[in-house]
Amino acid sequence: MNDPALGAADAAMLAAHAALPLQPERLAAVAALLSAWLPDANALSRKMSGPEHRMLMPITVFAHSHDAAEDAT
Amino acid sequence: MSELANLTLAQAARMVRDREVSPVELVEAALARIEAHDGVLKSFISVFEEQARQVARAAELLSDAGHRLGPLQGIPIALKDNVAVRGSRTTAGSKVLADWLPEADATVVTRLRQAGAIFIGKTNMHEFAWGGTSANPHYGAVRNPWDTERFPAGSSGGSGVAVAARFCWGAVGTDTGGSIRLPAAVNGIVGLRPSYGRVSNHGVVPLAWSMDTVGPMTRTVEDCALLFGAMAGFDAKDAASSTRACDDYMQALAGGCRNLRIGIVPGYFFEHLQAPVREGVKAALDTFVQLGAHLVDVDILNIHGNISAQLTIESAEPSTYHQRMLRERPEDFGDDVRTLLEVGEMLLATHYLQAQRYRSLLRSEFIEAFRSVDVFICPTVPFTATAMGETSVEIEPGQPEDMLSAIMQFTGIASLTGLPSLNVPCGFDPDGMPMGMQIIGRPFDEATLLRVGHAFQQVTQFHEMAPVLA
Repeated sequence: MNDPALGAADAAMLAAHAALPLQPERLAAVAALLSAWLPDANALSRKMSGPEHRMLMPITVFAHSHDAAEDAT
Repeated sequence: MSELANLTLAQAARMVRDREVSPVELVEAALARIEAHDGVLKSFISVFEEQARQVARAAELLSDAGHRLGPLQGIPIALKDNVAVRGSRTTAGSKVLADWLPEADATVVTRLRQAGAIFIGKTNMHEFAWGGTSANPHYGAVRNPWDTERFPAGSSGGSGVAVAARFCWGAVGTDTGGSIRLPAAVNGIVGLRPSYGRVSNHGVVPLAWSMDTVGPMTRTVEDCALLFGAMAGFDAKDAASSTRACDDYMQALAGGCRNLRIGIVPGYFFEHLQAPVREGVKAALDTFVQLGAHLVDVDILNIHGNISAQLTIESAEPSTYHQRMLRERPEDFGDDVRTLLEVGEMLLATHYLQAQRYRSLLRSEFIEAFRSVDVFICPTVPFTATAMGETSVEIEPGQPEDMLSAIMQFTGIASLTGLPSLNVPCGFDPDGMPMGMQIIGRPFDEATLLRVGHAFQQVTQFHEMAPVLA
């Protein structure tokens, strides 16, 4: 699958999606960086969607408060 | 250079303990060098001249009266400016926090105070630690002391320069994607990214919560062990802090490298890097073999993809932390950091979570590999210091690449996996610019990294070289 380069209009749409005010003069720089990064990010997503990785959990865990009673043993 | 400035931290600590040198003399030597040279290098945002002198006099009195405060008694140490010091301006290199006076010390500051350290100042850095050049638009661009027309890397560029330039005997840095190891390599010093959870992040301005670490930057591995021992340990104020007991890092230094198994990842560790760096790190591996170590090729099948995962996580998390300020005070961010924060808002949740799943995969491969090796060794940075102001770098001749992606080629591995990683100087390129190797170890096995690095420094002199300051 190809990842088309993003333009200023795409960046503007994504900014609107995030409710992020973005002045027109900033769109080109944002679009350029997104265009550089997204193909690799999408490639990684495709790789991690493979059946061999189905059981993997993300490194996101509950952070336990060391002072809380729930942690007492 | 004064003889005092050239002492290592361990030497200075021994001399203070034996009352051969006073803390006042050390502070005055440090302040004199900062005054003489930091106008160009810009490694400090704040210098605590009067406070450091007062604390030094108090330390001297205590020392004269026979009191022993701790292993760092009377030693001037610098703190990166994203580490909170009660009542002292802590900017994180930003305009947004230009006037922030923390109400409490970061835990690492408390620990260093208890060990007897004297804080000489707060070091300059890449704004909010989100970048690798330390070209700070608000407090000046930090310059490399080996060649002031070259960059010092970052984000802990000020800490790296302050140590290399002998402005202090050690410094505290922070490392998310490489921010201790990169400036350590480029400035020719030692820098340790600890295991995630080994040093408390409490009181440190976050960059990316799931990868942030705090660590020591010093001239020698022995100094690093001494400083790290004072910083490490459980902290109930940091939910990610480990309760696992710390080793005696100084005692662990002896032991050498005989029968050490060094892992090399073929097809990655020595690919896509400048020739002098390749030759320098390979020569270091030869030295380890002469010391009795063995090189073992180990396939890490999924190592490719780590840079993208690193960029995704290191974008999404800071953009979350800064979400409000990016809307309320966008003009107060430097242009590069502002763009990175804006882009971080546009990545998908699935990008972020797949990157976090990739971390599980990569970590499990490394943990499995540690059955057959004791450490991995690879370059820290695939190139030596570039010219000031560059946003791209040529690793392969004629092929400019984005600096941010290129600089994390090797450091992202430890950041994603939470493994400890030590930069040790291992040579100079033909222009006289330093380079470093990265020693990656098992979780919480900093003791082995320090032992291996120390063994290397017992038979090499790279760490004894000092930049000549104009």
